[in-house]
Amino acid sequence: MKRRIICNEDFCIGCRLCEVHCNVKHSKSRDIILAYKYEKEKEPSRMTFEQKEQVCGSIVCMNCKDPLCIKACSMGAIKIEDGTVIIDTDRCVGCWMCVMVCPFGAIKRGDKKAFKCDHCHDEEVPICVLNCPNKALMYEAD
Amino acid sequence: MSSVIPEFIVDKNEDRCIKCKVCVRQCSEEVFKYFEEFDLIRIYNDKCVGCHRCEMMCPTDALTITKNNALYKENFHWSSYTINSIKKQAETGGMILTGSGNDKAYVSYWDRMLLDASQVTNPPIDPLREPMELRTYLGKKPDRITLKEENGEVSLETKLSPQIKLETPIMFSAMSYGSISLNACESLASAASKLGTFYNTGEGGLHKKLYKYGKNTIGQIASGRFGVDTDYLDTCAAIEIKIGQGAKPGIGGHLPGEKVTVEISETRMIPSGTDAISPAPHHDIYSIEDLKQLISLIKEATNYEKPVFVKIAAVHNSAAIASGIVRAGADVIVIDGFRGGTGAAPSVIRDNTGIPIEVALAVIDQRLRDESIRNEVSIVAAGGIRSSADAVKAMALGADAVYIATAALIAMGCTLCQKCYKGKCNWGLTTQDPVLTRRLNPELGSQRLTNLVNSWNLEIKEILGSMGINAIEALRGNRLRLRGVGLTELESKILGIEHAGM
Repeated sequence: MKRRIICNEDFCIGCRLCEVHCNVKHSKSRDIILAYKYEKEKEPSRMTFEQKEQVCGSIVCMNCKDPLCIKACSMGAIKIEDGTVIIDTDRCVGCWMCVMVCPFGAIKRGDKKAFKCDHCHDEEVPICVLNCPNKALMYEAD
Repeated sequence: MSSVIPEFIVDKNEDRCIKCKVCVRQCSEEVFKYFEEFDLIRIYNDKCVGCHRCEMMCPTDALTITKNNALYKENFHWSSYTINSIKKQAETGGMILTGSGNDKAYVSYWDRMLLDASQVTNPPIDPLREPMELRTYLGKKPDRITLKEENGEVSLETKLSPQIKLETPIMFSAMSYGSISLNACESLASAASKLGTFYNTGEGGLHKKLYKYGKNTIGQIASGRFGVDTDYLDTCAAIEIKIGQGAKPGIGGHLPGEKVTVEISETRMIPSGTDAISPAPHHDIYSIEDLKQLISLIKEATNYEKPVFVKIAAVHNSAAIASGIVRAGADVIVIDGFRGGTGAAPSVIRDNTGIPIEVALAVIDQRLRDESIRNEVSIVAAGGIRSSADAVKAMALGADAVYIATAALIAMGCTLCQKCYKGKCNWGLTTQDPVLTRRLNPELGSQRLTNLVNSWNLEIKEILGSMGINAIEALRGNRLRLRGVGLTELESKILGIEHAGM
């Protein structure tokens, strides 16, 4: 199943709550206050929020049909599984080539490993879409 | 230095705050400012208008907005509001402006009326098992009808005046594009079309994007005549002449030039950046005869196919005015009570002018009945209808349908902070700032409005069932199903209802 999260920038209100909820979801405790105030290990958000003057929006991995990141990865650490692009952290050596080639800026540099949106594969609807207060983030699965 | 004490206190619980800065980004009044150097969110209480946007957006419930209880020494005669108003006026020399409806503690007659229910001798009906009719037709009804029979088929011989069909007796009241955002207008329009009812353009003209909802649009013509042309008259299903508004009877409108964006200027057909001023009177209406001319003109222009509404504010001699309006040829009279809302009005007018809608409605209905002209017009009650119960009571007092606007805004997010006139609405409703207007996704807005009216419909059906009637038509003007509580003899007489126990 291919999952896609799309942002309608006409209705993105720039609150960045998608980032907050994404961080909480990928924290150890999954509790907003513990994750932000007490947990030591923190990764940057999987969402890429961009703003230029009055237009803003969040972008995540689009699960491209023919992903450039797979071609760029010399370690073969990136693969498509059930329509979703996945980074195998055991194989990743942190060369950041995927980060360089991703046209959406959706792959992030973590602690020596690349990481990106996992489309909340364990949830019915990705957590950012679920919590978007203005339904600017939309979710498609096919 | 301002001598006005802040009305609200913004309290941030540091144990809960995760410094996500949602509050900083969401507050259009700039109450919050983040200092990166000190990793500090600084709060400016004096700028807070009490709209609670930050409180609702905060993901950890770290914020609480409270009324500043220390606001001056308690004084029954000189309230904190009065003292602050005097201070503001002493500082600025201007009128105090305000938005939305009258918030003063005048009596609400809706709360002094109770509904009847059936017991034993006239059994109630279960609305879940039996059909309930809420369909309503607005327009002039004939004195009598004649039928003709041809080849065994019966048909209507009388030619009916134009009517509009409502699937629910609840419509969305006039709010112009300009006073509210296009997204808010679109939410109302799309909800009205989904619900089979109507919304009103206010005096803002009809945006090109909204022409597709024309069948569910009532086009308003007010004293500024903004946005009126052939296409407008042809597209709208009915035309409303606005004489007055409940929140500000006798006062015109003023959309400041900075709100007149290119799109608004195109829709209103005025130069962009210029003030859109609706005069207090229609300069061509100084008598009932003049009103008759305008009504005739509109009917002529629309080929006698569309009902013409006339909207007046509820004032002291509304009944006589209403009688004149019927004789001038209006198909529907809209009465807007003193609790009705506004985008901007002088506080002194909003808080001190007009009369309650309950009273105006009762006396107008009675006057028209006494003069045997009640069938010539439908009555729409507006101004402060808060719930389905208010709507049902209005219909029992004689209204054919009700208009809601404040309730509709609340459904779309409004918290009645009454700062509509500032143009910085944090909910994207009463603003034209492109950053703020996108806070209302019309898809969501329309869904919430549809939900609201659908739930009121369910409640109205439930009330009708409890009264043992299966059509809203049977309740209309049926004041025997109302009883007053805590009303004086005179109040009961004016409202035309018996006191409880009678």
